[in-house]
Amino acid sequence: MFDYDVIVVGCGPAGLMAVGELKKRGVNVLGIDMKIRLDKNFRTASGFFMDDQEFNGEYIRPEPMGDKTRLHYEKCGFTIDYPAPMEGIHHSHMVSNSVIPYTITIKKNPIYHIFNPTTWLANLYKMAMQYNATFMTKTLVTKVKEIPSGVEVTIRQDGKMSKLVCRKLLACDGLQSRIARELGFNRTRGSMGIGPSIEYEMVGIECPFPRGDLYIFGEKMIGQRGQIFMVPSPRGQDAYRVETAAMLPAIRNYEIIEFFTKKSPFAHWFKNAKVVEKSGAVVELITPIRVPYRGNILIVSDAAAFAEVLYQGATACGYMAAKAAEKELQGQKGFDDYTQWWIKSMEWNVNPKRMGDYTKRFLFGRLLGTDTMDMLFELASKHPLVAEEAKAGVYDFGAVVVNHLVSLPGVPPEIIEKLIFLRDADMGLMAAQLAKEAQKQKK
Amino acid sequence: MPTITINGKKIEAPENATILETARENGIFIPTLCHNDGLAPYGGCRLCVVEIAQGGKTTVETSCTYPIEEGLVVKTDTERIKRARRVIIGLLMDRSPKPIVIQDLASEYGIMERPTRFSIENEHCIRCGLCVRACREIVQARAISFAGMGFERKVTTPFNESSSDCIGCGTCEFICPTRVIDMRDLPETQECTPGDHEVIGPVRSLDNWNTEFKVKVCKECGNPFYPAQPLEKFRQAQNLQPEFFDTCPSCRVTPHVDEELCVGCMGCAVNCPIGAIQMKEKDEEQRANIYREHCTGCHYCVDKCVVGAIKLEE
Repeated sequence: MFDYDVIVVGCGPAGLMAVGELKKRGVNVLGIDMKIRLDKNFRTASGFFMDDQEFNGEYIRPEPMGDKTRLHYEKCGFTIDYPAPMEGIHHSHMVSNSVIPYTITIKKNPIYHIFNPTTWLANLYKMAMQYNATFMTKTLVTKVKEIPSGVEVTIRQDGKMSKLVCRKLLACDGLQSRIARELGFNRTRGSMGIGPSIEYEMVGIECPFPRGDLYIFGEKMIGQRGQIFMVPSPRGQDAYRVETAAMLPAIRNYEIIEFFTKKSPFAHWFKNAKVVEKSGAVVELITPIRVPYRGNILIVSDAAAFAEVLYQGATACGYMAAKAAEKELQGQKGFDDYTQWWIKSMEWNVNPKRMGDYTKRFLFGRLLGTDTMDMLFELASKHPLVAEEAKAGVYDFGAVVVNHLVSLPGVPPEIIEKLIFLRDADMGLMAAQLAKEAQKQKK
Repeated sequence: MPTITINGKKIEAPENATILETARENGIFIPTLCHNDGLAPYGGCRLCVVEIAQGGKTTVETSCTYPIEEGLVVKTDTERIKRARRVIIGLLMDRSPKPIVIQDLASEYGIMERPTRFSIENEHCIRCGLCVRACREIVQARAISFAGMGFERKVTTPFNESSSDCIGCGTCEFICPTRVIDMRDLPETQECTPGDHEVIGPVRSLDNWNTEFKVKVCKECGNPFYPAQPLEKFRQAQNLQPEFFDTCPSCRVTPHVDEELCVGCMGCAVNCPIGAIQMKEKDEEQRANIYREHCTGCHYCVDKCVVGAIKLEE
């Protein structure tokens, strides 16, 4: 009666890992995705890798091995090989209208490593195919229905609807998960806003700053409200991923990136630059699902997360979900175990304040105004932040910047007050409040 | 495939086909009143009779219900058939002389209206059963049926009461060859009574079945367009999203994808509330593809496209 033991919906980093792991353990599993191929990244992904530090309850120890890097997931207890060396990034810049960069330098250990998402996916795909995993591409899951001791999945492939029945379903369909939405998981989640993004991966960029990521804002730089990120890309020393973040309508992102690369004070960097790859994404910041399962359906990774868990987190989620599904098939409470791990590991599950911390680094320009930021950056250029060792991570980045700016000589007290307000503001609480209100309205 | 002969012409026809289907496929006209391609054969009006010769015997059969067999010899226009049809049309003329379809047939076969001593009730209905069968087979509502026998046979709702099974879809009105079913769509209007007035509508009323339905108003243009009840039924049958019928067909503009601009990031596809967007392959890259039949015209995707590849106008 069951077509498959497990169906994995969405084959990104989490889905591919789950399918590969389950197949390895001898489970009859099917992976469904609407992409045309699974070994390529189509969606904007920054490609930075927070390793050698505690991040979302996981400590990943990279072990360089010549032309590949072995990644030890110490807490989850597995190892995967990334088939290329990973470059460490030691600098991080912020630029506003005045063009004076605010630079953070960590000398000893890199702030993060960079990798290529397509290589990562291709590697996971190859690993899954070693065990002859079955996949359905160009297929959309339109409906998921719970049936006794299983799940009925309605799919559409080439315009034709059909139905599949499985015992367990892993929904790894990413941030705007259709399954989480259809099953009503999103009703109690609070939304902190939608931010579309476009990314050009470019080579031949003549960036004079030391190799590191750039965070750029200000009217002069991008023409309107919004931000640009430039993250180094492993394609070469002159290669960067240029990403935008703006509000709706999404077409603004296109305007921003065109303005930045053609009309901004930095336009001359891009004179000889070539776009290698274009991608986009619509990112929605919504509060996480704390108990990400119901019956035979488990919502995995980004689908249940706040913002993103990154490729590294998704891979770990995929692994844990595969383990959980296998346990469930044997009649044990695997999904409960996964939930325990999910609540204990993800930082915004442990402490909702982390959600706010994650967004703070985007708020400097908005809260203080670009003129103030220019003034602060000019001050900071005389006293740059250079540390031997710092393990800030994405969540504490904003606090580190505020602490440094506050410590600068000659900063007016009212600006210090604002900066400290920003550092200590609890936007996680606000998000929780939003979620509560949503629940009330539902009732 | 069996081979049959119709009017001296050798014809190969697919198995399970009826004589009527085969003849029509090959351009041979056979008159009918009760046949519809969307419905199962019924054999009610008997107008489609043909002469079938098989094994030295000749019989007159209704072609709409007769499945073809190898070696059938069919004649559709013999004197015997014409005579049979004249009898049928004559009887129809006696019972229902008013409908244009009947009058056309009568003049074609040279039959005059015969005077009658009795008044005829319900003279527009020819009892072809199309409405009853469409309601049962297509709409699957089973709201109406035949009642009574002989001269009193008529189509009605159970016990002539307002039928709760009727969904007001109007299929019966559409399919009726004699337009005997009275369906009216009223806009929002006021009914004035002495000293007061009452707002009625937008409403659809089906007087034959004593039913009245609230009509759904389009959220875009504000015009009423179709009764809410059948829309809900179709929506459930077709597994469409709750918002699908909030917009009327005229306001439902399906956006299209500019494949030159599209980067295949799936931002539109994951955000589509009903999953009408899927990916298709083009030059080893993926591009968004909007399924028109599923699109509700909410234009959510237009707002979400980072490169402006989804547009409303060509």
